[in-house]
This record gives sequence, structure tokens and C-alpha cells, in this order.
Amino acid sequence: MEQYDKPLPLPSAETREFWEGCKRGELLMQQCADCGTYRFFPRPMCHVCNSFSAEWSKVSGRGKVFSWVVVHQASPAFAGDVPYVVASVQLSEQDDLRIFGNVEGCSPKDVELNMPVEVFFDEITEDISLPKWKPA
Amino acid sequence: MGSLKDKVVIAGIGHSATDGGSKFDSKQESKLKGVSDVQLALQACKMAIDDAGLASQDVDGIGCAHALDSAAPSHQIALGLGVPEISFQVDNYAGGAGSIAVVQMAAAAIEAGLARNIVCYRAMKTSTAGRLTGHPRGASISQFPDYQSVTGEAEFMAPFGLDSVRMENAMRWKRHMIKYGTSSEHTGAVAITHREHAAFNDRALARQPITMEDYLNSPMVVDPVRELDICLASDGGYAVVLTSAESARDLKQSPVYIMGAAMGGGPLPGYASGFPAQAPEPAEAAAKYFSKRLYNMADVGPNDMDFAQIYDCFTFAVIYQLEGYGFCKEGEGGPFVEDGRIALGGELPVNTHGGQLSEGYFWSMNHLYEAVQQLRGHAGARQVKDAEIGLVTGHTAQVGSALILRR
Repeated sequence: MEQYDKPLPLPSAETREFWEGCKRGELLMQQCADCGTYRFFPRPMCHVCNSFSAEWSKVSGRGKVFSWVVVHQASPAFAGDVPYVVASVQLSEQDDLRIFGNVEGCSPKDVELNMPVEVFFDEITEDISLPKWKPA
Repeated sequence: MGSLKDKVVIAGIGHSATDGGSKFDSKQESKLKGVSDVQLALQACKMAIDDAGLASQDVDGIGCAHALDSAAPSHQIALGLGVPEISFQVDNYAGGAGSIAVVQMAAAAIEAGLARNIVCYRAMKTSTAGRLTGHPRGASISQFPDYQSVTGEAEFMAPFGLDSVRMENAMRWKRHMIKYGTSSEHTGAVAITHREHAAFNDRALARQPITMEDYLNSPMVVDPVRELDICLASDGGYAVVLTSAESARDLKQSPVYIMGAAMGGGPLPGYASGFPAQAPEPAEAAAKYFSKRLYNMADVGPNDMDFAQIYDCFTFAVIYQLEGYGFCKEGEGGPFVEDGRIALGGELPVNTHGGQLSEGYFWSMNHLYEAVQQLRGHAGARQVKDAEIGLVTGHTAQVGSALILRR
């Protein structure tokens, strides 16, 4: 196999559960154990009630396109992929719960605001599967 | 609540040699390639100190705005200048919002009696460091082996090819376009106006006039952002010297007074520079959260501004801020920039020096320099007639800082 030549996440104590979930094909989001608010990116404290206790909850993996761009001039690692789409996907569990990812499985020009999407996992290495999105 | 109004002045301004490209990713080699950012900072600081009629030995405070790409930290400037005793020192790592914020901190320190004469600067090398392209967090492994693995917030961005400030900002702008119907012609008008102003400025690094056709034909970088929407890649430094209104009386230049100062943003400002983590609506301008405080301190309103030097990392950043600082309503920034309203001779001349889009990308310390020149009446062919009061801003997408100045 050709060497994968793009940046890969190096999971930390704070993010490891997320990437372990992706490896199993599950999208996990950090959720406050006290007030139930979801948050992303992973971080130590709930911004609503300031609780430090949180759990990783499996979410539906469904959402809609909150915003997106089509990259035409990319950095070297992604130059072979242009034009490609990076979207901010708003997950169905909570209005302000958003995650970035590529939208694949449709032409970049067909992506639109609020387009329903669902997650799929792109297995890159033994340890890392990247959550990406396709039209639902 | 206290107030800085009319307590502190800008007594001196300076800049280093500057160079850079007319495209976001300069293909030409900068003549400053071999010159360090510390040297550029020292050139700018020395000129500002001379301009004020002070000596380096009179300086007792240093304020540095920086980011990881290009630092020229305050201790090296204090060392270089030979500051005999330092009473105030700050290195503010806050992106484009940090430079005007540093000036505010310095002004507050002078008013509080912590220091007497503070030099504030930003020096950066983006034409050679390539900050706006080939960002290490998106670089290929073979080019930058150390960046094979990304950690922290970048874990959730770089692996998807979301690896530059312009991508995050383009995502914000996309929502503004959809929500308010802002168009490419609006951002085009901003780009064209900046280039028109640059024609009157010898220091401007991009002076070639552009038409709307040129703008619309400018290659897409990250749709909806074209090459001509992005500020220059440039090398150089700008500096100012602050002192109290009282001690300014004995100095060389007529003082420019700080009337109002404010900084801030809304809830959950988020990472990097572009897209908010969980903020309610990224199409909103950060300035709407603090512009009222700014105008209240200065006891003036947007209609009193004779010019506005607005942080323009991208064309649309100007449009957001025209809304956020109350020159028009939210969503009306696009139409506001039409019909020459922001041009010299217009209702509100914006970035009379050409801004970061056409003069150079110096985190709006060059905007502050231009504002002082305008208020001293030294702006030559681009002088705004009878300029008395003006606005200067520094911004990232989610947080900002601003000053209202008067002569």
C-alpha cells in the first residue's frame, strides 16, 4: 500500500475515546454527566454548568450541513484531492453540536445548506478511521 | 467604571523596511528574506521612538503582539533597544485581535502609573514563512515529517484538509452570503477600493489597479474565497510609542489621543481563528459585542468617524466589521461598500493606506500608523480632509479590539 501522506490525529487523553469509537464505527460525543449538554471539540469542563464529569455517548451519526467550502487550492498533502468539500456538520442531537469533515459521495457543486448527511468511517490505518459524511 | 478617554496619546509611529507579494502566496522572493523579524521590529520601534522625540533610554515598557509563526518577543526588543529598566512587558498571543489589544493594555498601564513610555509593535514575515499557505498542520508528511501527527484541536481539522485560516473564514463567509444575500460583487468592491487607495501610498506592496472583471476572474482558492479576497503575504514591522497626555506636551509631534478602547467577543469564541466551536451564529461580527462599550467611552458614535482603518485579513472581514461597529445594520455590510461609500472622498473612507489587502499584512499596526498620519494631517495625496476622529480595529473572526483616536 502506498504510504498515507496526510496528517493523522495523535490522540491524547482527552480525545482517545473519540478515536477509539471511530475505529469501532461509532460516532461518540462528549456529554455532560450532570446537565446532559453535548460538547465538541473534547474539553475538560461543561460550558453550561461547569461540571468536570462527562461521558462519551454514541450519537446517531446524522446531521445537516451547517456550512461548507470547496477547496480549489490546497496545501501539499491534499493537492491531489481538489476540488474537495469540507463541511461543518450540525448533528441532530443538539443545535450547536458541530463537527468538521469531508462530504463525499456527491459532486461538490451539489452540496447545499442544511443538506442531510450521515457519517461513514474511512479506515486509514489500523488505529485511525476518519469520520466523513455522505448525503443521507 | 474607569475610562481611558483622553488620558494617553500616541506620541510616535514607525515602520521597518517592508516587502512582499501581491498574491496571498508570494511567488517572488522578498528582499527581506535574510532579515530577521527581530531586526524588523527594532527598525520599527527605533523609528517610532525617534518620531516621538524620545531616546530608547526613555522607554520603560514593551508590548508585543505575536503568534507562533513570527514572534520577535519583547525581551529581545528590550535587549536590542537597550532599555535600562523595564516596568511593563506583555507578549500577547491572540492573532490579529492582539495588536490593537496590546496598545490598549499599554494605555491602561500608563494611566494606572505602571509605566511612562511604552513601545508596542508587531513584526512578521509571512512572505517567506508562508503562513497563509503550506501551513505545517496541512503539509504533506514527506515535506514536513514532524507534522505526520496532529494533536489537540487540529486533530479534528487537519486530517480532513481543513488546514488554513482562509478555509475556516470561508465557511463563516458562506453563511453570511446565504443568510444576507451578500455577493461576490460586494467583496469585489472592497478589494478594488483598497487597491485604489494603495495607488496613493508608496509603502503599499500591491499597487496595480484591479477591475471588477479582474476580481471575478481571480482564481478560487476556497470557494467562495478568491485570491484577491486574501491579504498580502509580506515582511515588515510597525510600531507606536504611547505616553501620557501630560508628558506628551513636551514631545516632538502633536499628540493623537486615545478616546475610546474596547476588546472582546461573544460566547464560546472557539479555536484557531475562523469558525466558532459552539457559538450561536458565526455570521455575526465579534464587534457587535463590544462596540457599544467603545463608543460609550469615547462619547461619540459611528457617524462621528472621519475614517475607519478596519482589520482586513479578508475582504469580507471589512463587511462584518462595518456591521459590528454600527456603520450599518447586521447583514447590510454588502450594500454599504457599494457606490464608493468606503473610498477616499466617500461617506466613510476605509483603509486609506490600502490595508492588509494592498499595503501589507502587519496585523493592523499599519492601520494604526495610517490613522495617526491622517490625524496629524500627514497623509499626503490620501489625506482625508479635516480628519479629526477615526476608528482602528484588530480582529480575528471571533474576537476583536478597537481604538477611537482623535487629534
